[in-house]
Parts: sequence; C-alpha cells; structure tokens
Amino acid sequence: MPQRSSVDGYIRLHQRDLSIVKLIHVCTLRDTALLSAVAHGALSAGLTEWVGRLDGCPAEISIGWDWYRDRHNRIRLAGSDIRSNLMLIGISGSDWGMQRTEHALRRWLHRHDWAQAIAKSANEFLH
Amino acid sequence: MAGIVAVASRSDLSPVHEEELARYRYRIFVERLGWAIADGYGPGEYERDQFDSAQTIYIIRRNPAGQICGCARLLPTDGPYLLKEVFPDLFTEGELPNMPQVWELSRLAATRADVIDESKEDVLDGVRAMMRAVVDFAASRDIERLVGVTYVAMERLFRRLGIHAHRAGVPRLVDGKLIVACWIEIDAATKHALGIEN
Repeated sequence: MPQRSSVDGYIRLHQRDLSIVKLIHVCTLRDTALLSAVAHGALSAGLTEWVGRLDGCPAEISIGWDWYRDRHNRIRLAGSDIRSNLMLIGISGSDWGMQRTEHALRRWLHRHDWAQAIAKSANEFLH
Repeated sequence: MAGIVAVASRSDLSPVHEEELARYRYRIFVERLGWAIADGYGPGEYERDQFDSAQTIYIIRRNPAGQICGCARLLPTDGPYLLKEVFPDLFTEGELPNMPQVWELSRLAATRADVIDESKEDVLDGVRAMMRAVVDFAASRDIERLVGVTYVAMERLFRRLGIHAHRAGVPRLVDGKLIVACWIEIDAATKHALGIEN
C-alpha cells in the first residue's frame, strides 16, 4: 500500500508494488514547442498525463511525460523527464530519490502500451 | 550570466518600481499567456491581484539596461496564498500547507537578459537565474520547501535544471494548457543544481 506523506507531499510506494499500479489515461496534448527539442524528424510531439491507482487505495499517483511520433509513425517517450508525485522506497524503507524513481518509472512505462492511447488522442487532434 | 537580481517586499518597492513590475507582469501574463486581469485590479496595463500585499516578497531581475527581465513572487503559507484560495482542487494529496517553513512561489517569469524579445535557447538560462535567486532567498530564511501552481511546461524546465520538484496533485487543463500544483524542495539537490553552496 502506498504511504501518503503530510510532510513533503510525496506518495511513497514500495518498489515491488509498482508492478500492480493500474495506469489510467487522463489526457494527451500536442505541443509544437517540443517538436524541435525531441528526435530529429519527429512528426509531432506533446505531453501526456496519466493517473496510477491501486485497488483499495484512495491515493492518486500523477504521472506525466513528453512523447513524440517518429518518422516511422511510432509514438515514443521523449527525453528523460517523468513528472510525478511518487517516491519509490526500497526494502529498507528508505527513499530511492528523485532520479532513481524516475528511472524506475521509465522502465515501468516501457512495459505498458501507453502509446496506443496517445495515438488515439493524437489522431483525434487531426479531425 | 547577465542580470542583476534584487529582493524586496512590496512595502520596500517605490511606487515607480512597483508599477514597472506590474507592467512587466501584464506583458508576460496577460499579453503573452492570455490571463484575465483579476477582478478589481483593472483597467490599465498592469497585472496585480489580492496576493500583492505589503509583506509579499518579490524577486526582480534586470538586464544591463535596467529593464526587468524576470520576476517571482513569494508568500508564506501561514497567510492567504494563491494555491489555497484559488486553486485548492489542484492539491489532491494531503492538506494544504499552513506553516512559516513553506512558502508559495507564484508569478515566476523570465525573459532574456540582453534584450526583451525572448528566444527559446535562453529561456532555461533566465529561469535558472530566477530560481537561483528564489532558492537563495528561501535558504536564507530557513524555508524548507516551496509550493505553487505552474504550467506543466514550467515543471518540465524545473526538472531539466535538476531542481528537486515534484507534484502535489493531478494536473488540470485550463484554457488549453495543463496547470499543476508543484513542490520545490530547498535541499542539497536543488542547491547543487543551481550552483548554490550548501
């Protein structure tokens, strides 16, 4: 179960519980300002927002990141920045820290098919 | 890095400098970002609201020609502040802070120090200079963390600078842009990222 912190606002979650977090799409936006900052030849780019939920837990994990559509029309994660209110904790109960949590979230995201939801939203922008 | 930074409470600002700051904020927040002027604070090309009181702290950056090229507003959370009064629903986890060790950062803006017209490659430098001054001030007052409402685009810049920033809730779409409540820790990581000695 995640722990809410009244001190610094982080939702703390044991790293082993990350695998049972359900990822729910909130919204996806295009951001033309990002286009030049992501990969060369990107067709479009933007940011996407999701919430992570655990059964029986009211805490709402917020996760957002940047995306781009490459020249082969594949949607990819842009940059290294994963923005959230989550702090992962290790076996000893100590914080993993901002960077290590971000790396773990990035690896975790690679195991999810979030690109499909973004593609659907991104296609809707065209209509 | 070009630019001269000054810290002042509103009561310390001369009427001329206060007006100059309000005009700069108008140009950034009303003209560029499309914000509406707060009720009761128009007309005129000035941006002010009810949180601009005598005790409010301002950080103002000027270019070598003396023109304002950055600003930030700081308020202790044991009094009224923007997030608590206007955007409390953005703060979705825990209780809104109400303590002298936590201050709100708002009205953060940065433009190029050498000319007023902004160019993208220098935005990060401007934000870094402003945040360095903000964190310097916070550390000098033993402030432990800052909280505030910002665009996700600014949250991205904080993270890119290495500032220890994290969310206080789920972002919300306002006028086509995502805004989010955000914490900034005044810790070793943030100070190191901004080149401030611990």
